Amino acid sequence: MMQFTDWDILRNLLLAARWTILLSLLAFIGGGLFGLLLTILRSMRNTLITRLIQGYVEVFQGIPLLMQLFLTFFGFSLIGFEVDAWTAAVISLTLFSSAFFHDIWRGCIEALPKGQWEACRTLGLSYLQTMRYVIVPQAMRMSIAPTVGFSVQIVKGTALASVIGFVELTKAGTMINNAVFQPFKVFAFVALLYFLICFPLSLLARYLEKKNHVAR
Amino acid sequence: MSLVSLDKVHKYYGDNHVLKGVDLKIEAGEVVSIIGRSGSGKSTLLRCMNGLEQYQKGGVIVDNQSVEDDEYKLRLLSRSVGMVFQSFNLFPHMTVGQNVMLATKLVLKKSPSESKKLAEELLEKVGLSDKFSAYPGNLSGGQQQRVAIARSLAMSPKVLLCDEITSALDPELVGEVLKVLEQLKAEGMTLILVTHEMNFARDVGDRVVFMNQGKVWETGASDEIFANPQTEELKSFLAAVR
Amino acid sequence: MSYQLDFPSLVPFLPQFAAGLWTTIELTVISTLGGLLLGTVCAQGRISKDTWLRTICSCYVEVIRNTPFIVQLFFIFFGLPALGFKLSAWEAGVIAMVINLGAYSTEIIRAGIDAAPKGQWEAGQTLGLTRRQVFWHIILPPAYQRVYPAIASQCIIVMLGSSVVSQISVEELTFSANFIQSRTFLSFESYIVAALVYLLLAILMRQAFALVKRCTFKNPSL
Ligand SMILES: Nc1ncnc2c1ncn2[C@@H]1O[C@H](COP(=O)(O)OP(=O)(O)OP(=O)(O)O)[C@@H](O)[C@H]1O
Ligand SMILES: [Mg+2]
Repeated sequence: MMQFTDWDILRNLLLAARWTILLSLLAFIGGGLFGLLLTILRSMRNTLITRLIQGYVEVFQGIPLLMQLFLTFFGFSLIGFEVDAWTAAVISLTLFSSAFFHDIWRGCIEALPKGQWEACRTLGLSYLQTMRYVIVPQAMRMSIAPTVGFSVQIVKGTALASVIGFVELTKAGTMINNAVFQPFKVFAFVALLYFLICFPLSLLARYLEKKNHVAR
Repeated sequence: MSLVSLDKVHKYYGDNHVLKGVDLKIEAGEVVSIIGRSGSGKSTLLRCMNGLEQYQKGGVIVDNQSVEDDEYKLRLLSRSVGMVFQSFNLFPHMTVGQNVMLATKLVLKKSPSESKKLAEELLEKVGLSDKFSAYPGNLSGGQQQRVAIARSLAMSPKVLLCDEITSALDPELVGEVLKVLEQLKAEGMTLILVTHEMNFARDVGDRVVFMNQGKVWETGASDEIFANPQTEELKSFLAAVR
Repeated sequence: MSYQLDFPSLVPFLPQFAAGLWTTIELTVISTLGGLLLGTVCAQGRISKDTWLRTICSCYVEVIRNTPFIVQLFFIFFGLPALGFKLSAWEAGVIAMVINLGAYSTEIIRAGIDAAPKGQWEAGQTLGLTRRQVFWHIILPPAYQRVYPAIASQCIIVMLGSSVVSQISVEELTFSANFIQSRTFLSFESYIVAALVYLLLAILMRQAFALVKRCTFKNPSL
């Protein structure tokens, strides 16, 4: 059997952490774009569309992410597409994040005081103009902090991709542990690496939030 | 020995020298109004009397207890000194009755029935016996402030500190609160009021303390002070508030 | 679509689903109560005058909030026994869930405490209450009320997160679904059933929280 030094463990984990980061980035971008689309669709204020999107959010927030991964993984093979763990993870994390992003951004839009809408109406602005010039710019400023905050959830969510067999940080941890059987050390390292990715993001989110509070 | 006695009290907020050697003695049964410009240190002075603020030099003695930065001593002191705030500070999750009974149960360790009886008496006294089970959020400002007074009285304090207790009220509600204060005076309660109600200070107060630049600038019997202000500062202050 | 979904074949496995569901409910209830208690105590620690206590509490919160639940679970289940703490899978699952919710609820409750007006502390102090009495009787109840929606969502998140403890073989709902799909090869169907049960649980929990709110907070909202 091969001898693992602490450095070997850490190096292998670091290599695997690249996949965690890449998966997080793809989910963030994909989820962000799709969430944006949902938000735009919803702002058209069509009752049916709104209902559908509400249902979508309800489902993705009411089902465990792990279940979503399983369903994507096995669901695709049902309809004849064999997807690998990587694709399944990207797709389901994207869908998952889109529901949350949409919810966050909608919340920011709705949090604006009614007076803003009323002021625009008295100025004769159309709905689209109000959105474009008054609502969206303010909502965007407000949404930055919670958006960054949610990126931490995405990074943590990618850990579940290990369950369907995608080798990212957590999976690498379990594999290395199976080889060296030093669970305390290995999982402490794994946790540390996640912490090093997530904590700066959390700090940034908190900083942005504070700045926002001062600005208002 | 005076009930309240301040001896050369100095108070700083950082570099800001707020109280610059305040000397003041208040006897039991007196009703003293503290007046002065905004920022002259009235609230700070009052809060030094019950330990909500610490002072850096001098001494404060209330009811024979020295006011120091010591949690235990301050807790003992709180049985002698009651305080009513400008913003009521009622506990929103408790009914009016529970607000009044909280300290009698937790601090004075009175039995529930005893506490309840006392609370009912006090609410009766401030004219709110029908509000025992109401929540503060459903009362008017004047009613809330009267509950706050009843709540302080439940500890049977020797002196009641009131910091602009009518300032947050609509004008038509001020009277009902002042009436309670008059009643307390009639019962012999010692009252120290920071107030903007000059008429009340003159008609009900025994003595007026004019604070200026962190000092007791001028003090004297109420009618005297209003009829014959001695210093230029007090004259201009009175002219401004009238 | 070439494939026909076959739900009827799952019917014989209803008892397994039910047993898994029961364990999920059990885990959720225990960890909700334990986690909120832990969070309340740590929130008090976060505002304590003792610098050490404050630091320890905030380190706990940050570490838990910035690492995935599954890693915490593995650390507790595989890592701690290496130090001599023997834990059953169920115990490890409950402990991980309590610790996880504890950290999140610490932050949530602390935000509620921070929002308490300074005058509330002062009013309690002038009435002669100890700092601890002021905290428990005056500050905490309205703080809960303020952050109740956030607490409710976090408890639902913890319920959903309980599916992860299937990975250390706690026999809850996800574990049941895994088991059944391995027997029947009806993987999609098994997971759909489990997913719907989770969804239903989430909706029921939200309603239960709303009901508790109506019965508990009788004062006009803050
Ligand atoms: N917590 C604090 N920290 C720093 N400075 C303070 C604090 N509280 C009061 N001050 C300062 O102390 C001075 C006196 O304040 P104080 O509140 O005692 O005045 P006041 O006479 O009660 O005024 P007002 O009539 O506006 O209530 C002011 O300059 C104020 O800015
Ligand atoms: Mg003041």
